Amino acid sequence: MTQITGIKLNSIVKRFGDVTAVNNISFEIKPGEFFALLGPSGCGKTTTLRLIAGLETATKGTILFNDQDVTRAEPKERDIAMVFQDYALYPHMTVAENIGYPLKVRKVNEKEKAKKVIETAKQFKIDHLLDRKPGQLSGGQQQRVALARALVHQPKVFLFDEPLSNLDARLRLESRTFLKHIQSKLGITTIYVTHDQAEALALADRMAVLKDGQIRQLGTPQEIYEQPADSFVADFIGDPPMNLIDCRLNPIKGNLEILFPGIKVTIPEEKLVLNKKVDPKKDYIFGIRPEHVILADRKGDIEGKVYAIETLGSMTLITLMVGDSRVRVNTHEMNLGLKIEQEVPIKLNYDMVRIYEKESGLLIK
Amino acid sequence: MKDFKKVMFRLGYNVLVVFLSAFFALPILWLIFTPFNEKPTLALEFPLNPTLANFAKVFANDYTINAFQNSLIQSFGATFLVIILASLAAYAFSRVRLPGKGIIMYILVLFSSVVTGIAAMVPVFFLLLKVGLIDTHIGVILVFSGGFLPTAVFLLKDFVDSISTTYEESALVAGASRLQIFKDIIFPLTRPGMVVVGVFTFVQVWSNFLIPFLLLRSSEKMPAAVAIYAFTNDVGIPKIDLISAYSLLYTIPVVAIYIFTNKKYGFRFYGGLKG
Amino acid sequence: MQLLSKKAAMIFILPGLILIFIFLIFPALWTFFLSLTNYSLLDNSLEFVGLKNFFKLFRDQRFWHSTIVTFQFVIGSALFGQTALGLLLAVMLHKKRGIMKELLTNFAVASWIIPSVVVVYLWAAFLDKEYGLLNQLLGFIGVTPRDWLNKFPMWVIIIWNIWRGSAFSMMLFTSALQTIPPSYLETADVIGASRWNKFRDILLPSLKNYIGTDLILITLWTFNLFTPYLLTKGGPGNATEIFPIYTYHEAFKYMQFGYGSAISVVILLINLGFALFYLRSMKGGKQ
Ligand SMILES: Nc1ncnc2c1ncn2[C@@H]1O[C@H](COP(=O)(O)OP(=O)(O)OP(=O)(O)O)[C@@H](O)[C@H]1O
Ligand SMILES: [Mg+2]
Repeated sequence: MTQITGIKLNSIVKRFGDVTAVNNISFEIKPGEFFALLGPSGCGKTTTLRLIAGLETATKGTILFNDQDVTRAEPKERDIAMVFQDYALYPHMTVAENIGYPLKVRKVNEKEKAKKVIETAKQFKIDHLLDRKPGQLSGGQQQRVALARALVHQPKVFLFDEPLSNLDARLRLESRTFLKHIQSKLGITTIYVTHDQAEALALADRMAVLKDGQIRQLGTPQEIYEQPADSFVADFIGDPPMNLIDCRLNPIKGNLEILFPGIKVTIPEEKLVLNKKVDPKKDYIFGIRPEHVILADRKGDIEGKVYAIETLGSMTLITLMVGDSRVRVNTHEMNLGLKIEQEVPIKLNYDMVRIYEKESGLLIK
Repeated sequence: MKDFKKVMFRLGYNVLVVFLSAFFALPILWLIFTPFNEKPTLALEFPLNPTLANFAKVFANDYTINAFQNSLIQSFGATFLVIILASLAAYAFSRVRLPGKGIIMYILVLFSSVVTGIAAMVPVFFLLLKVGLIDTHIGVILVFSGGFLPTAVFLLKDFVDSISTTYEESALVAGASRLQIFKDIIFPLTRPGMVVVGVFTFVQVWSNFLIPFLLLRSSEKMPAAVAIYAFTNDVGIPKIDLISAYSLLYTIPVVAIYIFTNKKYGFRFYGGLKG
Repeated sequence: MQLLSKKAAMIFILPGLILIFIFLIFPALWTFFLSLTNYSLLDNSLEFVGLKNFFKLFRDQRFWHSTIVTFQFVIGSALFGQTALGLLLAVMLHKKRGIMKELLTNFAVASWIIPSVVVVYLWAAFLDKEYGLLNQLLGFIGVTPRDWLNKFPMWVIIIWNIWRGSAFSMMLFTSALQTIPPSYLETADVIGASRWNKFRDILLPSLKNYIGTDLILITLWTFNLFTPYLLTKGGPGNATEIFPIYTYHEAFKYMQFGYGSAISVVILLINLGFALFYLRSMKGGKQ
């Protein structure tokens, strides 16, 4: 059985000349955990992964594998496996030779190697492709070969750099499920880089959201989905995205006035308890996920006017004009009988409302 | 009226194609027919009784065989040297951030196009004379290599640039040593580029006249290119039987190589320096 | 983490660079030095004479004659010949098929790849006064046989070089034409453009950069071509003594190395102009 490894990054900085790709990142990955690094393009995900792989050396900070400092260790001393976005299958080797390569360089004897290759190939359902060259495989098959090659020597840590982004939508979903299955079964510590928030939410036990080389939020997918730590994370996570509306807050005599562009709502103060005293002169962002906006039967909190109705199969996405802002509503009801421009009352689930300071982007509820 | 114009265009077009085909083909026909004639002359005659006697004469002649050997030594020598040195340099240039890399590449390419033909041959001649490499295979090989290396490095660097670094990185992560990575990954992936550069060098050296003509003196070191030029009998009249057969034999490798590379890589790689 | 450390990379690069330096860069620089001396093997002298060689050169009738001949050769065979004929061939054979196209392209390419020494024999045979194919063919239409090589030497080397080199331009332009999206020409067909319009408005603009590149390269090569020597030895007299042959005569025949180097310097400087121009156009083309 492979030894299970925990990973720790302490204040890691990586500079390329003038560019700071990773700016003081720290996090810990527990043994056997599936950890996702999520963020927009250029935020430093790949660089972080390459630092863990040993393909880059940190400018500052330390990396620990099971409390052992590997900051300056060569990749091969780390006993890891990595799947690249382009798979990096050697075009001049057959599938069998590709899968067997990590064993070959470890000088595993031929018989043992052949056995392991077939075993692994069977596990990934590619044993009928062993004699082909990578160029003769479909994208999905190539991806499985890359996975098989990474797993064949039972590494301590598994690294993925956007391994699904070259697949079409259908195959991506299938591979995602397969990956989750394999990882849960083997229990190998896994770090998974992606810019697709749905992928991260679906796969990860815990995840970090990165922006400009810094961690914006660290937590379980649920924590991050429900309680985005700042307006960037709130905007980045979720599909359809969270409603984020600029507003002003005005407390008057036990009530709270929320001034949206073109419309005003007044609610009892205790419905929206903020952890910071509000300043009526400051701008805030009012955030609520589309599923927490509810179409009311008669009397709602506010009225909206139907702007568009999109049927998404299992649910319906309704966009309303509330004052001058667009608000997305997500509902499982299918035949609502709504018409465009129709006025509808809506209720807000105030428990799930998040308020951010406009200037700092910080969460105050 | 429109039809008439169309017909005239077709006619003109076909006449032009025939004329141009004749222009390119006629001088070459001599090379194809003459070696098989019993009594080759400068006239173009179709070999009604084809014979291989002229080729037999070539193979019976020590001097001609020796010249072929010299061509092989010089061509393979330069090819080998260029492939090795260019691959090493191209890999380093492609993968490692070196200070002044851009400038060095620029100067190399600049000089390789500026210093061509006879223009810098006077110092080259004296250089070889001074170091005792005049009239040696090594001297000729080194001069050719120096001339073709910039282009070779340039072509190969482009080639290595096109190979994703993730191949090497994935091998590194898989636990391979540097030597293993060079042997298992980099060499096989770069080989097609090396073949192209090698073929290019080989053909250029094989066909070149000027450099051996200037840098070699003794007839036993002359490659075929210069040897053919000297095929005259005692009274200075060209021996057409030998020349025709020898020319064909000398041309065949170049044509074969062209067909091979053109099929495999297309025209892109073939252009470049011409001696 | 790099596979190759900077130090190792230097070691990889060094042998090649040394060879290039010794046999390419250093000789070019030394040519400049030699041109300022009276170096000659005849009296074994080596003295610094300043720009004397160049003054002599610019007063030398043969140099000016050589300049004119070189000019004719380059303009005639490179500019009007190879580039124009190559363009014509590429355009007229574009999207064509059949045996005639194969025949024409293959013979054109053959004349480009056959080693120069062989080509010279082929042309000597082709042009021979008594037996040559050209005179025989012309005989059919009543033209009296001529000694082309001695009577029209400039014409011969110009036409010979057009024959020799057009394939390069043809292939360059053909591969360029293949990059033009077919929809361009199809659109033109739909709106009923004439052949000439299609050539002028679609093909020519797409080829513009390639024509520039081709012109510079071909001119540079033609300018440095030594092979006409094998055909004419620069003669008769010095009728075809283009720069490379002139250099050869002065430096290697008369052993005037200082003077020969002065001619080489002129060639090198002209080459430099072409090369800079070429690298500039390459950069522009990439953007
Ligand atoms: N070798 C390098 N040299 C210079 N800059 C680099 C290098 N590698 C990465 N960078 C820079 O560091 C920053 C982070 O890059 P990184 O590749 O880690 O981003 P990423 O999050 O993986 O983005 P993507 O989603 O586009 O892959 C970018 O600005 C990038 O330009
Ligand atoms: Mg990336």
